[in-house]
Amino acid sequence: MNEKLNLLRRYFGNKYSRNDYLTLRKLFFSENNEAENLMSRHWNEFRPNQAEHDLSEVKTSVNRAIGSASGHLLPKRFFHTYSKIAAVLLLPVLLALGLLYFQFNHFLFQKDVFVEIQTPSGSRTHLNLPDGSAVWLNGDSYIRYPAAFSGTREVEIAGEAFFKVKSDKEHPFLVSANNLYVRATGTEFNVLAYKDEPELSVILKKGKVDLLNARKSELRKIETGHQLCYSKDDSSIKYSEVNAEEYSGWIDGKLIFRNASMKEVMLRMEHWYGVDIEIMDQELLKLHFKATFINESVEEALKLLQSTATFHYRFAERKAGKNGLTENAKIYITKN
Amino acid sequence: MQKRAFDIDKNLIIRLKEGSRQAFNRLFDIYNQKLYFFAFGYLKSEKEAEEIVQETFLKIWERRQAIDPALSVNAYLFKIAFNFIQKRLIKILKEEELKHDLAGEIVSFDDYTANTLNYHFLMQRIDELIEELPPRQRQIIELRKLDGYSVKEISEQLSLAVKTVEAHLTAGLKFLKEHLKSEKFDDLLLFLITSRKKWQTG
Repeated sequence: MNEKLNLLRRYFGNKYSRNDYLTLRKLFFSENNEAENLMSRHWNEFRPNQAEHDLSEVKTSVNRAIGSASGHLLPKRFFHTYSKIAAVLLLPVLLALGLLYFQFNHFLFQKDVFVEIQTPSGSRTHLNLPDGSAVWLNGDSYIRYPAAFSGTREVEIAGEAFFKVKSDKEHPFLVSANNLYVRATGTEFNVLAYKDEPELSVILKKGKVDLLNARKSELRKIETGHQLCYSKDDSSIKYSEVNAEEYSGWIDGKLIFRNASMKEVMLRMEHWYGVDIEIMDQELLKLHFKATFINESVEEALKLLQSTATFHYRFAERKAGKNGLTENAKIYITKN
Repeated sequence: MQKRAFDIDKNLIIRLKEGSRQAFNRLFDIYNQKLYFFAFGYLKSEKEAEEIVQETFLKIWERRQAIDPALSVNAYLFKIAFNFIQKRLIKILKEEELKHDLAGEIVSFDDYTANTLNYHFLMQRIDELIEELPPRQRQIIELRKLDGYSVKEISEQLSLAVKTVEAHLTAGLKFLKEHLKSEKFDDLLLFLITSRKKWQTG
């Protein structure tokens, strides 16, 4: 299911293969509601990351149309017929999914088959690991894991991931990021390890985890409701108490800042929206922000931030890069 | 110090149900960008995307009394928008069917290329190359390969001998094939599900 969602994302971003196209066409030509289910998942995670498109004329014409026409309810029988159709369609879809599940499982039973997933920036995805543990991947993130766990459950990530690990004391769960390991038996925790950021952090929401070094020997235990920050520059460790909600809100589509520096805010917005942000005036780095964003577009978020601090933003002109690929939208933050 | 969550007010929905134009316009303000860019990503056209926004909000107004305030606005809006997006997308996919057959004819896809070449970019190149064809070849390629007319129909329409039409067709296809061969398609896509055994060469 996730593979088809990725397909939609690729089509959306104009980075798809011919097979992708043919699969997409088949998906939309079929008479079931698979396309709707997938697209709705895409919709739930989607956040626009471009400069506003002027829709004032659309708004005006809609208002004009409403003003003149008399709004009426759809006839009751429409809803009744629709629910009958939905029931009839559900059975073949269930059968198809059942078959798909068995085929998929069979193919992936080999131990040296690995699954790699890379998410584009400005997106989120959720997946289940072979042992039933759940992972949420934020934008611009990567995960690699074997199709079947044998012994230690080890996965590798880059970017940001939130784990809900299934309890199994016999087989510890190991997450490797940047040459460090997080070991857990059954807990909920967030790992932040973007390659372009100077720090790696682990935030523990529930349970207990240990931080291990590259040789898998223990560096530090982490308690619930605490954050451990490891600095790549000087290998120093900072341990502090935090509100874990703030750091895992993203899995529900919430971007939360609590006394975050301008630099942190912009870095996280870059990953969240899939844009490039450049802060042009050094003074701005001193600013701190507290905000929660749900479903806002990047421009709405910037406007909201402006209501608490003085700065200006400007979208650079969008141009097609080489090979016809459009680059990320670019935003400049200035003093005035 | 200001903390604002942009949650949709349940109040907004209730007011909308009661027929408040102000509530409706507020809803429009909150969702118009998300809906526009979402539709644009699938339909690839500003005009189409604007139309989706228009149709969706009109329908939301028409059906306002039937909205269930307990449901998420986000989900409800999607449900309405989806029907319009799906219809348009299917129409576009059907219209373009022949163009994709042409692509398959010019580029003989194997397992590897069908899975890794940036197809969107390839189709854009094909569009550009067709425009570069000498006018007669272009006309005949378009009539035969994009509009689906038979060689006989084309020869009648343009008052040309069948052999002439075929010659132009062959020349045009040759042009397209050769120009595409010399392109360097090294855009590999993100998202890989790889099996170490599968793509092993040699």
